[in-house]
Amino acid sequence: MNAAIKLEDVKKTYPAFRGRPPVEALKGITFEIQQGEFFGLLGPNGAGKSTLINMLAGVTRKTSGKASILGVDIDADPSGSKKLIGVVPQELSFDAWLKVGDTIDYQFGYYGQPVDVAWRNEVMERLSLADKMNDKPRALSGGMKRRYMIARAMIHKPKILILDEPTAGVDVELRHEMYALLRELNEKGTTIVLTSHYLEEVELLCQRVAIVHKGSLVALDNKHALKDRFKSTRIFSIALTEPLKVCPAVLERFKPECVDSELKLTFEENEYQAVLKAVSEANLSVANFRVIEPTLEDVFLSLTV
Amino acid sequence: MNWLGVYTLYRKEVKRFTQIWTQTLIAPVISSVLYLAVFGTVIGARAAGIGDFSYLQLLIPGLVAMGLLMNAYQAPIGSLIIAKYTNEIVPLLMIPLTGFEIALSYIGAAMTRGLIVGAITLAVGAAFVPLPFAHPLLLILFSFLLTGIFSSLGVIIGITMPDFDRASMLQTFVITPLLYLGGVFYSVQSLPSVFSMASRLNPLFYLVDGIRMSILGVGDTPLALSLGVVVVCFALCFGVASWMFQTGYKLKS
Repeated sequence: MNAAIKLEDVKKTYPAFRGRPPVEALKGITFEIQQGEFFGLLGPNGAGKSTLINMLAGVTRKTSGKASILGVDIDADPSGSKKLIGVVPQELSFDAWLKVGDTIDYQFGYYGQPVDVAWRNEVMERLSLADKMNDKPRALSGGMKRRYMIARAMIHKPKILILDEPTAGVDVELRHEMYALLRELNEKGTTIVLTSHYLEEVELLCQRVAIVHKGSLVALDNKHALKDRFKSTRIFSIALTEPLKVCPAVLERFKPECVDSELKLTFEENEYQAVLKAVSEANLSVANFRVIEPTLEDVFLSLTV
Repeated sequence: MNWLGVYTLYRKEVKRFTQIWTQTLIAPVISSVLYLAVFGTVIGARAAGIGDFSYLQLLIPGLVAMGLLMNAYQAPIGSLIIAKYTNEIVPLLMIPLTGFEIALSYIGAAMTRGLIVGAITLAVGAAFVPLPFAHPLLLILFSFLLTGIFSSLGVIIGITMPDFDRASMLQTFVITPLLYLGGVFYSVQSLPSVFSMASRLNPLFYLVDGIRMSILGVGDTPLALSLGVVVVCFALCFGVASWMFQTGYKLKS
């Protein structure tokens, strides 16, 4: 079975421009995204994520290397590879003078498909845009424009949906509706590639995550494995019924931090037993407690800062 | 070949100018009517015609040619430069059409605008002055080729020029002088021989003359030569426009 997306030593160098030196945006990226995955692509600003996505979308030329979509080489058959994907670019882009409904209908035609009215209405309904069909895109709010771009990218039912910061400016409630839609598409077999500055969003939705930093791939794994590999530290957070006057000596090895009635103990993932025993010996008046696991954000920061 | 895709993009581009039809279709016809009124009535009585035809009969094919090519030329320039400004160019590059297919849509839509303006100009002119329509099929062929050339040129300029100022500078300093010196308002036979010879170095002369020959049955140059120049120019301009879309010249980073 062909990989959904296969990148082999992909490089992109933007040439020198007006006295500025050339910029190596991608320094030889190699990885595969399998069919049916919900894949997260992370990296700080300027890491090369959007360059990678724009290259797959046919908006940016790569300098060298090979890239294929479901086995279709993007250089040998650009139209064929474009037909397989739907891309939500990071920057807002739309025909300002056309109505939302018209541009969505045209999108079917570009992909050689007749307008599927039922599917169009469903997508617009799910993205809360059904009542905006006769509006011009520029009249939409920021969040609506994002949702409109998602509708445009998925209307031709692509096998792979690539979303570059799709939820920027979208309010929480609609964001969660969008997650539900993306999950549903993924469950029906659509491969989804997501980049987002909301790391909790990637953590919630994606199975595997790649982290790109300064044009290089610095990590690629299952999100749980990534967290385990890069951050084995846990926090034992205890809410006390009254503030501690003196920290018990038995807790010293867990670097206790006490703020008001909250006590935080830091321990390694293989020290659960030891920390529980120490807390018990300290004879604290515990109101409740929780264990804080490392987040993708911790992993991200440890790799990119 | 993705014909539905080509047709859809063509339809979108046609909608772009039909939505503002008073500016894109009627305004150029009004300009031509003003030329007819001013040149035809004020200096027409004193100016030379061609063969047995009056100056007004000579002028109308020139104005038709001007309407055809200027409107075909301007349509893709406006569309592409606005697309670059508004970032609309990104979705265009993402759709699964080849450079040839995108060029076909853009050039087809621009040709449509030129042909509509040319047809209205001809109809208005024919209402004022009797025209023989000597070679109607040839007129259709020349109109298609002429609008094809200038639509392709419009695409090339729309892609190459970063803004309207530079695009209009090219029109002011190159296209318009070549057009006016190409025999829109006069027959080059009426010029002194040096200028008449110089006119033959201007490719627009052959385009205007081809339209005039098709309508009046007389022109300044052999028909085969005009047709040959027009076909070669069309093939060349269309090829360059397709190549630009295919490679993303000045469009892709």
